[in-house]
Amino acid sequence: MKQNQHTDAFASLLTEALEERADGLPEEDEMLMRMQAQIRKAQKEEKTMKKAVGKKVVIAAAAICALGSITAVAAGKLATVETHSSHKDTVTSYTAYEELAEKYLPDMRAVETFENGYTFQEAVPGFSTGSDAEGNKTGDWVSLNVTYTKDDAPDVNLTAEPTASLGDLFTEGEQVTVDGMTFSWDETSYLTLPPDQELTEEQEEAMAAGELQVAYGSDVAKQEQLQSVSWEQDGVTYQLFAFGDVGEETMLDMAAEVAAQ
Amino acid sequence: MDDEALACRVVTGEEDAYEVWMGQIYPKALRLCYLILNDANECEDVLQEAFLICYQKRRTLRNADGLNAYFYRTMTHLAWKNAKKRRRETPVEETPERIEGSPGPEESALRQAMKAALFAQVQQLPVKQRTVVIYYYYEQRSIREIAHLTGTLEATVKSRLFFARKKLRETFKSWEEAE
Repeated sequence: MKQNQHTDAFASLLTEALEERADGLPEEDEMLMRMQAQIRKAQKEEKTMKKAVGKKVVIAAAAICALGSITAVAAGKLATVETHSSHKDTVTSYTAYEELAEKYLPDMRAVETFENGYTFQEAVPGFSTGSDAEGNKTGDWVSLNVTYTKDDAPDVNLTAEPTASLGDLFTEGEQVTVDGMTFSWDETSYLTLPPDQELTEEQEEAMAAGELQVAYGSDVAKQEQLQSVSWEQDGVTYQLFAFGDVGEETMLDMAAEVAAQ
Repeated sequence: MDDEALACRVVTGEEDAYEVWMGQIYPKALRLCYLILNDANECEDVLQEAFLICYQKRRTLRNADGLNAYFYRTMTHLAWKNAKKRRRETPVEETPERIEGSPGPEESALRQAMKAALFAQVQQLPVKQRTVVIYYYYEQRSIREIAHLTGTLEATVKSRLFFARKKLRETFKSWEEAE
């Protein structure tokens, strides 16, 4: 019986009543075992997702890290990034995005409307954890993803995160200089697969050659063109990317417009 | 291994630590949940969900204290949600008749009857008042701790405790006067 801190008769009686009732309840080992089995199931699901994330491009909020990790996988290294973002955190006004940026990434640059007509649609923070090949945590960080839209054109996303968090994950593409700023341009085939689907030999070879990026997590297998421009500026790493053909010149102009802010 | 060391292993994501921690916290959690809900089947649903949520969030919890408090807060809120869904009164237990006569065995029987009546009255309380009573009198927690464990303000805890005590003392007094 616990030491009773309540000394009046009422309190003592009430405490006794509750203790007797609670202590009379049999501890069901089977109940605990059932609950532990559920946790083991959750652990297994988590491992499957982690394996998928190790190869997966997380477009919503940390594309740079995930793309970097894919390249790292192709080169024989393994690094994993897990990013969580929630639709509840999505903001749909530029003012609200500015508040997010102030909170999470004050050095981030962005525009509300590009000269070519692409306009701010929404923004969402992504909460990332990086792990090395041994599964040791390398750090936590927050990225911001901003989506721009334009009629009849593919959406363009701008993702920004602290350069220091990315370590060796970021891999550069073709270097292009615009308005005195150096950007990396990359265009690649992008394959999304359901979590348990294995790559064909051809796909493995294409991935190893850097001609194919692979992501896991879709319902059906889908291949698209991924165009991206990346750069580092004042401690922030940016990636402007789109699925579909926006065009190298357009993407580079947009990146230059962001960098000029 | 002490509780804090085990909880630290849980929040850092060590795989086996979570099940071990579950085994440690389960007996107390089960009793608390049972006292709040008074239904063993519902307890399993609530505890299952609370353990799962806690598992999914474990790495976001900074330390051992955070883990346990998060679990109890989650469990408590799930129990409230369940009770609200249930929306039925727990049947009042029949209290034994008072036994007239000599002291000794009668006193024990009377005491048992008073306890049964008090417990029945606890089960009649609104679930949030009941929860505070259980944390305060069964768990022997302070107002501040109860606020932390239930995710409510201290003033709210005090208010719920005040009204709960008022009803429970009426039951207690009616037995005392009849003695």
